[in-house]
Amino acid sequence: MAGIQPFQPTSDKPWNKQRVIHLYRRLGFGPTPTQITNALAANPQVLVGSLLDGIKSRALPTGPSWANFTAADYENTDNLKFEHREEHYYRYLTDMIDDGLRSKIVLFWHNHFVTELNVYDCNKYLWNYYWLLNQYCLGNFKTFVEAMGKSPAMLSYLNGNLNAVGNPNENYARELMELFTMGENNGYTQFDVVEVARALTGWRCNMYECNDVTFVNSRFDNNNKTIFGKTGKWGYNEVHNLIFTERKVQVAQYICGKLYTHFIHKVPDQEFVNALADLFIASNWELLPVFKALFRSDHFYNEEFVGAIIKSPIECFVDLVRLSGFNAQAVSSRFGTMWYGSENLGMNIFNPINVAGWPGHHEWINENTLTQRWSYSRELINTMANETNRETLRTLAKNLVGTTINDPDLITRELTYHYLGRALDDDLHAAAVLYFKGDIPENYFEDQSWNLDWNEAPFQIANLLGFLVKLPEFQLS
Amino acid sequence: MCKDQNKIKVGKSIDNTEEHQIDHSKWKRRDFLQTAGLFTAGMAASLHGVPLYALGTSNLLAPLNNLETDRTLVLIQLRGGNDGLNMVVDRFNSEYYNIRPNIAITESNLWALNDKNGMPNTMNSLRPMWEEDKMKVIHNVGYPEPNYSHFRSSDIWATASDTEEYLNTGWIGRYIDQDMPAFLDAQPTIPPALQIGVQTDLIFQGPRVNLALAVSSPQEFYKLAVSGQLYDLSTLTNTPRDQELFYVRQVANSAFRYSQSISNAYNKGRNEVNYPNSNLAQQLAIVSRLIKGRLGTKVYMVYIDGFDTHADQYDNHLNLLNRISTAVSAFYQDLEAQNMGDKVLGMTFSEFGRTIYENGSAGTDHGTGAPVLMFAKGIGKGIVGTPPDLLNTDIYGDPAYGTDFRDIYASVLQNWFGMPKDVSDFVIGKDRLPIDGLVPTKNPPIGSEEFGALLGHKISDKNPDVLQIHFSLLQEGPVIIEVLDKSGQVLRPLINEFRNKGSHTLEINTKNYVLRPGEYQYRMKVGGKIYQRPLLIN
Repeated sequence: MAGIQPFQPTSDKPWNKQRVIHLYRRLGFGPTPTQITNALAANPQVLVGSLLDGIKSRALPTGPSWANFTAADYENTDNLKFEHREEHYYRYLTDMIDDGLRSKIVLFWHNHFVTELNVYDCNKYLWNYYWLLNQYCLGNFKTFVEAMGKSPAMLSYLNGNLNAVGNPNENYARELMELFTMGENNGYTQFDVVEVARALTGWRCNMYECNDVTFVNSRFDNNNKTIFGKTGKWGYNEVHNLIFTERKVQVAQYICGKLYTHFIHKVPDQEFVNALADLFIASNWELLPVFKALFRSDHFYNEEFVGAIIKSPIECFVDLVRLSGFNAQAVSSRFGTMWYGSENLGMNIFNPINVAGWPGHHEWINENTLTQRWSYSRELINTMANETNRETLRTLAKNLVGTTINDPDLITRELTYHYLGRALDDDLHAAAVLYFKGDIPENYFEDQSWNLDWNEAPFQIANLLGFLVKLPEFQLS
Repeated sequence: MCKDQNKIKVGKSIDNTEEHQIDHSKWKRRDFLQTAGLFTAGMAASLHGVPLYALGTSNLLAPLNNLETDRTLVLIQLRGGNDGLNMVVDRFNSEYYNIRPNIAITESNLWALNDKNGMPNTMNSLRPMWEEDKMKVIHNVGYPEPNYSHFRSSDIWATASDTEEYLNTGWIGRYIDQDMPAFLDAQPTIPPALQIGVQTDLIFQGPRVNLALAVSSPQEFYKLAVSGQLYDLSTLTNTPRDQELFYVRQVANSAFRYSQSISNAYNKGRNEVNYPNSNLAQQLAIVSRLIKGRLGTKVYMVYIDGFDTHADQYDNHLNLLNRISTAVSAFYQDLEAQNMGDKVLGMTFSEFGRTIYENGSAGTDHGTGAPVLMFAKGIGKGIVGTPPDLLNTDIYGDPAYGTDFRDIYASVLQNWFGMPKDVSDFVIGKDRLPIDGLVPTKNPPIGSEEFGALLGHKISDKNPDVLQIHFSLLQEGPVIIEVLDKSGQVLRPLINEFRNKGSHTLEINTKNYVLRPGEYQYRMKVGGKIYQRPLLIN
């Protein structure tokens, strides 16, 4: 059991490269080599604060040319709708690779406020949804929920747009409480679901036309509703006020529990969650202080949690690219591998498997997906070692070892630690060294004539990477 | 004679760094078409979306324990460029002693292969094999327009290419691909090829997939064979991180399809002699155990490093030769304890030989041809070709090669493995004839290497619409049976499922499958093999 007291490095629990990688892998999509160097020179409390403040203050994405395209705008075009969609996929992927921070929190909230593009099938709604996730990911959670509930993607996905007086649709009302705020069977009854649904009536959009959301007064149920035992002519805002006042403990603990299982470990520490929840309530549902407390906490940096989460497919790929020091442009020829490869591996981004989202954890890995992860990673490595990119690999290795550029054992050790965030046991390390040495005859190592300036060096690094990505350790964040 | 060491040979010596680098940059295969690394070929596939592992794990990977072992090839790679002149000595060639004042093997330090050639005394472990007709020597093996880069020349040997021809598949990979046309859709449960040492796996790269299981070291292999798993689960604790690692390791272990067959063969086979302590001997001890345990893998490759003897060569090289001879000698004694010495063809090779003259550091630099040694009980005794002509050299000071290495490959494919010449030519990519009498010719196939048999078909006695297809499996595993039209297009997939070892009858109603009267074929794919028969429906 643990509270949320801040992490103060000690000799037993130092601020080291392993913890830097841990922080960046959980908060973001893994560190770049430069971020590792800078982070090690920083105070972790200050660093976490500046990272999260940076996310919060970063400019929001500007709309694409098609941000307001309706169904009519796509009529008589061949594949334009899907071309725009793919443009958006790659824009998001680019942000994961080049920024790597907000995009990760956006992904968390995407898997919380689930909508499925395949259902609403409208690019304009997709853009709006994506923009809301970016806007509110570290904003006020209550405002976030209110915005999501009347977004066209959500209204279409959970049938809020069909919810009208005399003809209520309970779908969104149930998920609002069960999945988005309070948690299953956590402080509401079936009666509350019915009554909340009535209070949420009146919102309208047509996903087939891809038009804007409007509030149609005549569709709103203006009669009395009794929610959590309180009766009134409640409407949209009052429902949210009731949830966030009458059930604030449930909401805070449910959301903080979810943050814990996503960012720390799948089995929540209740004392920690409760402490975080108290802070959440005290901060009046602002997410920024909660995220700061989580990533600054001593508990988060416990060694037992380092590498205790199975990477999602997209994390697996983006992490590899970022740790190697590449930007998105350098690997853009593999965007398809990363994006659609993730889909093949069970992570179709913008289309989670159901309204509860991807369960993650062990569900990500089975015999098929594991071996496919290897082959997609291998493709990425091939691109990282192509003629345009390969010097980046050499630079990475040289920066890791400083002036000792002729010791294959040391280079292998440093690269292994860099990519896995841990050292290998002796047997696996010995195998890794052999992969790194590759085809170079042994005598060039023995007489120390080989060094990282050799033409082969980037390929040797790629060969080692091919070995590392197949290690079970590589799948862990 | 030709001692002009100032002439530049591209990529020849590590001293010549810039040239070396230029040569290395020609290493086109580095686009990683093939360097798929560990265990590529051995991973779980799926059938109709059902992962193989779900179809039965208990004995899924049983080896062909009950079968006669068929012929096996064991390649021994001498990495770095072997100095052939000091391995097979032209005993009375005065020029040899003239140009190698410090490193030549003198008459008192060698034993005689015949009245002209000898081997260093450090290789005398091979003498009994030589005298018992179990060893052949091929002089001066190489290829035209030699390349002096380790990497490029290794690739030429691996791919059987010409010197300016860049291929991304290896000759063994192409051989296995021909031998197992159904490798991808009905994968065998044994590795078709097994390599210890992760380097130069280009040799096993087939057109579609790398066909070798590569294990980095004897130690890694030993762990795999003993535990039957790639990754150790026993050392993990109860912490969250170890628990997650446990899960992924467990999945990785079960995704590795060959572990059971390897473990079974390793446990069934026994080493019956003591092997020397060298790394090469340990590799060969493992190979012997797997062969004797009836694993069924056709090609093994092991390696010994250290042949790039640019300096102080004399003792080092003799020591390397000693390791080869003691390891090979033990290996064949071990095989012959089970009368299997005639089933296993051993063959040494190296990317190139070395300069005929010694350099200023009492070593030798990159050269051209070098001898190949071949071993097997019953292979006979003999020396093929002649030693290089030291008095007749090219502008770089190197003599011309004598035997093209691809003629040896043709001998292995056509004679040792019994492959038809046209297929062998396809595999090598050249029209190549075997060297007469180099290796024993394989008797007609006796079915011993088969995974199953398509016994035939008949119409059911009870229902004229029902076709019965009889087949038998010597090994349990996934089976695909499908009906094709006359031109070979698949018309009707019939089954694609896991079947146990033994005899089976598949009954299909031709009406349900809408097979109208006519001529068809049907085929079975199992263990990477394809069996096909004509089918007439009246």
